[in-house]
Amino acid sequence: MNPQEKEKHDQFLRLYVETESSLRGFVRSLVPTLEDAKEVMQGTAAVLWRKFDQLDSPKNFRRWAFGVARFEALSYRRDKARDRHVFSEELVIKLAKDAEDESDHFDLEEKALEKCISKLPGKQRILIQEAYSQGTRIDKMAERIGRTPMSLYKALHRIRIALADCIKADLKKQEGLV
Amino acid sequence: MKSSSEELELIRLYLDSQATTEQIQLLEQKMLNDNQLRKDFLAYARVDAALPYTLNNKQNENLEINQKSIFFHWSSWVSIAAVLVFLFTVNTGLFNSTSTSKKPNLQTIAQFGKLENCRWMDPNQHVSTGGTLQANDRIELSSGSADIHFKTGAIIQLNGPAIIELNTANSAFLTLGRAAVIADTEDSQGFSLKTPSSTFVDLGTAFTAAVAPDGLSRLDVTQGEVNLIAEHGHTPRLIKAGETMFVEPGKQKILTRMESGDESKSFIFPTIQPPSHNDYADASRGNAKVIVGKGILRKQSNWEVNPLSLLDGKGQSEPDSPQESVFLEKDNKGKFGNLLIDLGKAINIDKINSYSWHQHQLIKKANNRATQKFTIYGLGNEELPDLSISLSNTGWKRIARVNSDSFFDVKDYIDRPAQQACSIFASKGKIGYFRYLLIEVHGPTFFGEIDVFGDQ
Repeated sequence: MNPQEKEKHDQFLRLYVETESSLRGFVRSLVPTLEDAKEVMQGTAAVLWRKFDQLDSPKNFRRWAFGVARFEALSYRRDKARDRHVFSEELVIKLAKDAEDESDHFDLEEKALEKCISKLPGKQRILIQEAYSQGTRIDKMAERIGRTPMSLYKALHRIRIALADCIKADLKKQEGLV
Repeated sequence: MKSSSEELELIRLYLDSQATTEQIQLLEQKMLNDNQLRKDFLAYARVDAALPYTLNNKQNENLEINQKSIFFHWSSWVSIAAVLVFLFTVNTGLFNSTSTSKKPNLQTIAQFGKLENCRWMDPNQHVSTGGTLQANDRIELSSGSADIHFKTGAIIQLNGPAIIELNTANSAFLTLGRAAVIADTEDSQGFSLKTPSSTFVDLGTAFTAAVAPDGLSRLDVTQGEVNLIAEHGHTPRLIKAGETMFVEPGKQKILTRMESGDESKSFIFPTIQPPSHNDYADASRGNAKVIVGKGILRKQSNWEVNPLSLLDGKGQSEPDSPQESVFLEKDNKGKFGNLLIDLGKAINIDKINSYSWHQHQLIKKANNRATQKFTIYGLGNEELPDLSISLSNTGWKRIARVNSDSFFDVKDYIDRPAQQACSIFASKGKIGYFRYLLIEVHGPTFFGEIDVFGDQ
């Protein structure tokens, strides 16, 4: 890699890493599973890198990346639509617009999420820790801890709702609205 | 969240992939008309997406005390980790009496070794030699180099910019960048480094892996042998010392191998066969033709090259033979154009080989036309689209990207082989079912031959 390429590579990587977490949340909201989100993220990264030269200013990377991710998710949705029911393009466009409108808060949300996780009761924390570890299968985990898969799914559901509510409250507090 | 519990349950079912078609349709109908539900759906999805990463970061914070500047012996720091895990468990009351046998996912699997000029993506990250690493830890190195010593004895030298996630004491996932692996201890046998497109399994020696931001993976075996597993269920491909392989990301795993020839008109390469008459596209069979899709073919007043010579079963007879080389001129925008191969009908393609040769007889530095830099695309039985329209909008499928200067790590002309062969094939099965192959040329290559193997 020559110095110019390395510099470009380095700049891309810095911008991408800064944007990655908010982009990931956005993509996850547009596709059905975490695995789908991973695939779309990979496709998005590929397009961003391939077209990086077309970016007019690093300041616009975030907005540009959201645009690319939206198109990647739509295209992924079209491919998947052949063998499985997914949301209509109309809804995906609405969701994408909503997500883009709120994307400025995503970084704050992630910080709030960290605080909210530490506020969880210990048992709930260890539950999501294990459930979200790489390679964990919910059915196997349920068997191991002596629960039914459905009760585990429901427990994780309650934790996610609690976390989403906690994040919202935290952000409002920061804005001085509470 | 303001949505009803029934609506939130629909969201859960959808995101846990348990929703029926009817439930997805119901959720969709509701969301189309309900801004609040869309808002809640997005917030819920963001929590779901962020949890794996945030939990991983929390885990690191809990063990930050474990970051020591002294390089402990394994036995010492494994004990320390065990004590910390125990304290963490007791202090947070994570386990009740019925679950004490379950281990939290906080096992120490590696530690930092030598760190040189390291700049981390997160400037607040405190890393020092001896700092411990756990499963699922993610390391984001902006520049410099960092050694990671695994418990099994495997060592990874990470060169920034790079992102790597540690999976187990004997495996890691390289998302971006370059990592050199030495796995020569008994316990590290079988160390596996995954990349977005493949898994490299060490068979007891050393290799280097690199991943471009778009997922293109490169494997260089420096000692011994490595098994390359491009996809689950595919037969591993044994890559030996001195060999290099590229793996394209995506569902269809396309491998690219490049080799340096013996610089004779016989075009002898270590493993890639010489130019052949036995391929489907060979001119003698009359199946295929080649035209310049875009660009200008180099010619002079006393000679002109027929692009069909790319299919004549032989390369050039001399090291600097423009009359026998298909060579596209660079235009004023720096573009070279493309070559279109029409196979006459769509066929299942197994392999595509390309050959180049260029070495000026007197000026040793003049060998840059041996470089092969191109992207090859395929198109099935559809009507040939207008080649001036963007390929991504006209159904072309990218098969592989080739850059032999990058492959041979050319820093000076002496690093560049004067005679080169490139072989593109699928990890398993066929490359694809194509009638047209479009070669977007990105360099001043003297192409001598292109062979397309497939249905006969």
